[in-house]
Amino acid sequence: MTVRSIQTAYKDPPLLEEAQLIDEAKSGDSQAFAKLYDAYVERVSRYIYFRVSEAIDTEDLVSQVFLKAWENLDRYKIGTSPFIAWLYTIARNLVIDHYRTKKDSLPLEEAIALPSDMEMPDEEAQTRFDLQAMRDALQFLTSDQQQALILKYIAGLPNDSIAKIMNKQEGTVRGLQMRALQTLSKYMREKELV
Amino acid sequence: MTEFEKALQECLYNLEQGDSNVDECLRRYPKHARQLEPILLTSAYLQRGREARPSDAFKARVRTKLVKQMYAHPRKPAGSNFMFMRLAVGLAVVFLALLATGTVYAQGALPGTAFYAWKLASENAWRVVSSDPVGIDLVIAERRVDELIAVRDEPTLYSQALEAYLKVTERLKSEIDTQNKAQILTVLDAQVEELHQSGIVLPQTDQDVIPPSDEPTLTPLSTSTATPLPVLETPQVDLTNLPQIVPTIQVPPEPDIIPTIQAPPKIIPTLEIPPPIP
Repeated sequence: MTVRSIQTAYKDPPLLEEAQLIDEAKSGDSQAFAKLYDAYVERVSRYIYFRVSEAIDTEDLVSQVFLKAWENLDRYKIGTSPFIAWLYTIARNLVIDHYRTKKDSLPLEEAIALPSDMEMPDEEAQTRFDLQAMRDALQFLTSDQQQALILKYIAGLPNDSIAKIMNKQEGTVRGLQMRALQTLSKYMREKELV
Repeated sequence: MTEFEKALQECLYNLEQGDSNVDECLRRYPKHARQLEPILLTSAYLQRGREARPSDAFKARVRTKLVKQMYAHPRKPAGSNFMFMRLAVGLAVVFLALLATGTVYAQGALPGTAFYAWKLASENAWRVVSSDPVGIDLVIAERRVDELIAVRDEPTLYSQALEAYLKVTERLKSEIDTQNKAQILTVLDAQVEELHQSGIVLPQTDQDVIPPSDEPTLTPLSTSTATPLPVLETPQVDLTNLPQIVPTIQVPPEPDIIPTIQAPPKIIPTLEIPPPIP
């Protein structure tokens, strides 16, 4: 695969009524929260998909992220940070807990099956192969390196937001990203992915 | 930071901002191009991860599960009210703890101290809620006696304590009835004795006078056999036929003899020198 140009920093379209929906959801309006779910489910699912190697856990973890958000919505203060950053923080903690409590994790070879529900814009085999390869490659990084790369290049967040989510200094996050890229590039050269 | 790391960081930033592509970065740093290329390609490659998206079926399943869970765990409509209630309850607990602590501390306060008014207020509250106000007043009277003894050397505080003591004794006297009369009078007598032994003499009051309303009264028998007394007519007085007697005062005549005081004779004592002893 040859990639010579990349997209610019990923920007989500602003959800105009986001603050209003959050206020309504805080008041117990489940329909308002369902709209927030519709707006962010793809990004949260993508993050979890690349963070966990077991396909079977993705769906469960995604629903847990939104349920946690629903239950703890009072803790989110509108305007302090983007709502999606708060969701990523919840997702990150859930993934950490998931690995901490999971005793009988599957061997990597058995866990690399691409979930059938994570469909691609086109169904080209190459795309499926690339994404699966990327997911496998990320499993060779440390947890912090994975997060720093996924939040940067797949979620498209700026480093200051990533630093807040990971509770680290921005410089530390940059260092994690550079080391992770170097490790990942070696792995991908060996696999002839780049 | 090494020269290579600086070049890598700058290239990653430019790629992120869309200012340049991988080839342009490599041309800018030919010395590090061989090292930079796989890393920059990897960063570009990672962005293809954004193409992964869950299917509609996946989103619908998670949505259904979430809605069920939201109904199972409904949010309280007034989340802020809940927080407010928690805060209010917390403050109330702190307030009650302070009130209890202050009240306990105030029980040892003497006249003239900051907590004395708190002590009196707590005693009033105690008296109001008690089922035995006379018993409480007896306890309060004992406290006033202790205070009187404690401040007897400070005139201002003494008068304040005395006034408080007299007030409670007056109240006790007004509460006397046939059942508690002996108890109250015994306690008051004992207190007077105690004060007296401490050198305190109470001002003369009518404390020994029992209000007539509290005296045992005779009640007529319902089935009286006594013969009723005849009803006497009220004597009529005719004010117009009063005798015209004007009382006069007779002044006794002055005596003609005016007593005089004779001055005693002026006798000058003289000293006689005794003759010398031979």
